[in-house]
This record gives sequence, C-alpha cells and structure tokens, in this order.
Amino acid sequence: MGDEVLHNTLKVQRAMRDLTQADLATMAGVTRKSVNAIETGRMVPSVLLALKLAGALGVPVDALFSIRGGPDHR
Amino acid sequence: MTGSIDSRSERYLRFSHRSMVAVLVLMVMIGTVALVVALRPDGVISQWLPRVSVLVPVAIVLIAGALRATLGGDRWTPDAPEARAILQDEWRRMNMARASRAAFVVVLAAQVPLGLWLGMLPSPRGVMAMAVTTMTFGLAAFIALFLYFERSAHDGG
Repeated sequence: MGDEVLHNTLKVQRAMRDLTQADLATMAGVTRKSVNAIETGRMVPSVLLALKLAGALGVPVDALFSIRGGPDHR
Repeated sequence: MTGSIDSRSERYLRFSHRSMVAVLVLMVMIGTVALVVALRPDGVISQWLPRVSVLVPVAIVLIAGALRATLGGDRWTPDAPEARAILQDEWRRMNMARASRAAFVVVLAAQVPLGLWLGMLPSPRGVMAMAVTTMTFGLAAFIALFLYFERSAHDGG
C-alpha cells in the first residue's frame, strides 16, 4: 500500500494534442500550476479534477491515471 | 488554444503571486516597527511613529495601485473564470494547508526562544512584544512557505 504511486500520462496526452499546460489548465478550469504539479508527480488530484482533466482531453480517467507499485500493480 | 484568455490567466497568476509578496513585505515591515516600538517605547521610531503613521494607508494604496498596474489595464474580477480558477485551485489550496501546518509548527517552535528573549522585559511590554513577534513570525512563515510550496517545476510547456 505504501509503495503505490499515481502514474499519469498527462504530458503524453497533452503533447499528442499539441496543448500547453496553460491550454489544458484553461480547458479544465484550473491553473497551469496545478497541471504542472500533477504532471511532475508533486500532487495527486482529486476525483473531480481527474475527471475534469480527462473530460478536457476526451479520454477515460484510467487512460490518464493509473496506480504503479504495490500488490495491485497495473 | 493560446490566446487572450491564457495570457489573462498568466497575468492573474502573476498578480496573485506579487500580491502575496507585497503582503509579506508589508507585514514584516509593520511587524518589525511594532516590535521596535514595544521594545523601545522611548526610541526614535516610537517618537516618529505618530507623525508618519498616516503614510501607512497611503503606502498601501500606492502598492495596491502598482500591483493593479501590472495587470496591464485589466482588473481583478473575482467572478472571472481565470480568477475563480486561481481561487479554487487544488494546488493552491493544498499549499495553503501545507503552509498553515508548517507555519503553526514554526510558531510553536519559536515560542521558547522568544519567551527566553522577550520574557526579560517588563510585563506589558514583554507581552506586547511577544504577541507582535508571534503574529508577524507566524504570518510571515505562512506566506513565505506558501510561496515556496507553490513554485512551479520547470517541466512542460
């Protein structure tokens, strides 16, 4: 449980759509700093924010976030 | 996607950051003056304070005007989507909570040395100096830690 980390593909998904952090932040209604903090793994977003980001990128949440490490390694 | 809305967001973000820095500087200055007055009620600063205290609101208005000028003709509208995004931002809220917890620990840890230092003063002055120092120290630690936690990692566009 303690070794589990939240992995995200935010940067990849963003790059595929040629979006900047500021672009994605505007689309999701947050600040660029939040997007930056999530991308660099410094912040674990709430379910609400994860859904907003997934909605803004048009992908399911589990395509954006996954759990790495621990017994339930996916 | 980059356009006027994005640059407005960036302007608002910078405005928010600068405002916090300005509040930090103002608060440390006012706190320092209050501490000096508490420590040396007969000192030069204490004698000059009634004459120059009228300048404090003027200085605050000037600083607020200067900060507003950095918005480049725009104005801070709390109902604007960019302002709401900043005020309700998760990263910001998380850092506020982290900074308040850390500042609380800093203030608690500072009580012993402050007590030893200011406890030697006569009672009303000592208590006043202790209160002023604790408030200034706590708020300064909170804002400084918040600004430190909020800094961006330089990664991505």
